Amino acid sequence: MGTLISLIFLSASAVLTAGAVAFLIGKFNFLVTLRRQISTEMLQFDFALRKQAAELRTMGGTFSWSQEGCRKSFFAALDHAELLAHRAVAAPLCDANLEGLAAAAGLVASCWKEVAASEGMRRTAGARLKSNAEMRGKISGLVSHYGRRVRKFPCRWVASASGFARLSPGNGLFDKVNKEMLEPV
Amino acid sequence: MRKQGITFQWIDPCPNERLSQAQARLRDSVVSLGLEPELVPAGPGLIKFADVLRFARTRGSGSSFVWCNSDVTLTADPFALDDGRTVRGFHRREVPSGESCGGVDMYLIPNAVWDDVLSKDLPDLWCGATHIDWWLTRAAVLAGCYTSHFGFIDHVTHQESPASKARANSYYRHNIREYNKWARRNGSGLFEQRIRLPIVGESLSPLSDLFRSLKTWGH
Repeated sequence: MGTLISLIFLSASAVLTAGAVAFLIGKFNFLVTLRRQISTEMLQFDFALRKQAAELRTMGGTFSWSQEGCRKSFFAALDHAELLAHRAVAAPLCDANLEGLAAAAGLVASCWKEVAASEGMRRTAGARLKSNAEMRGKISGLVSHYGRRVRKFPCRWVASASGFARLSPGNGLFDKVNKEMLEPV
Repeated sequence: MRKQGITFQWIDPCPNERLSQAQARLRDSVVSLGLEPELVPAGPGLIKFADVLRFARTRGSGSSFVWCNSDVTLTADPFALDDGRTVRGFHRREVPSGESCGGVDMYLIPNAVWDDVLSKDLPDLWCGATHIDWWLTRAAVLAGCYTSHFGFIDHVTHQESPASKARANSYYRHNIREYNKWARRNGSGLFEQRIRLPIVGESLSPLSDLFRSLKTWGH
């Protein structure tokens, strides 16, 4: 009888342990999936910004700039935007990279506004800015979701154990562009 | 004076007619731009990306060298952008759709950047499988010397190869592992992967699935 009880107890423990492990791995997979989605969206946004930077460079090359300084700062802003966007997707996923991408988007947006004002390119600029805003909104939504989930048990434990950098998005992360990052280097 | 060279794998025997025609088109496009095709001899099996780049470095005659995938067509001379300091990644344009591809299929690498930075820590990646552009782009970005370009290469759209996307493919898995090792060493972003469980597979949360199923039965 004792052996039978021990066997039942051991089997139940094994099932519970397996269930708990599966549950935690499930949560890990959930977090990985969400992080992959964020990374993928960031990569797509980075790619969109690169394409737009190339487009803006071509447009900027055909401008008749009133001042050489304006031309230089326009191209410097694009170079800096590309650098920020590249760094944002090259480094491990964390808040600073999201801010870097947001700063890059801010720089590209300022260039679009310049182009739209001087060359009658309002429609193209408007479409690009709208699409950028949509992409930023999507990333922001995913990051908020991640932030909410990662604060709760058991995702908090899983994130901490798997060494994921915590993403604490807050509201409208992508709207809070650090002004210093907007200055071309 | 020796012409500038474009390095790419010359696959012989070719596993399919598409690739055979594509690499011949690439060779012709390189010659038509007044450049020299530098052919890396390869068979149907994949070879290591580091070996291809080393080959390109030793064959280079100027201050930079260029590598590209074997199934693109050159439409402009990448050496026109050479400044001896910046690694330049080239996104291909898909034919016939005209769309730009997110992946990078050609790089112009200054010898100085190769010698001082890139060659110091080369991940063991298979050329033709996934993530080689993740490594090269990120390594150059982390070194602060990378820009991307559009409009230099065309690529006829085809079905993706298993080594570039299929998770079950051993080349794919190898490259992801090696890329992640390199990324850990260098503080770059990892390619995060989910854990596969026996029987359960990749369920996001097996217990949640069970509860959901029970709920469904309840209704």
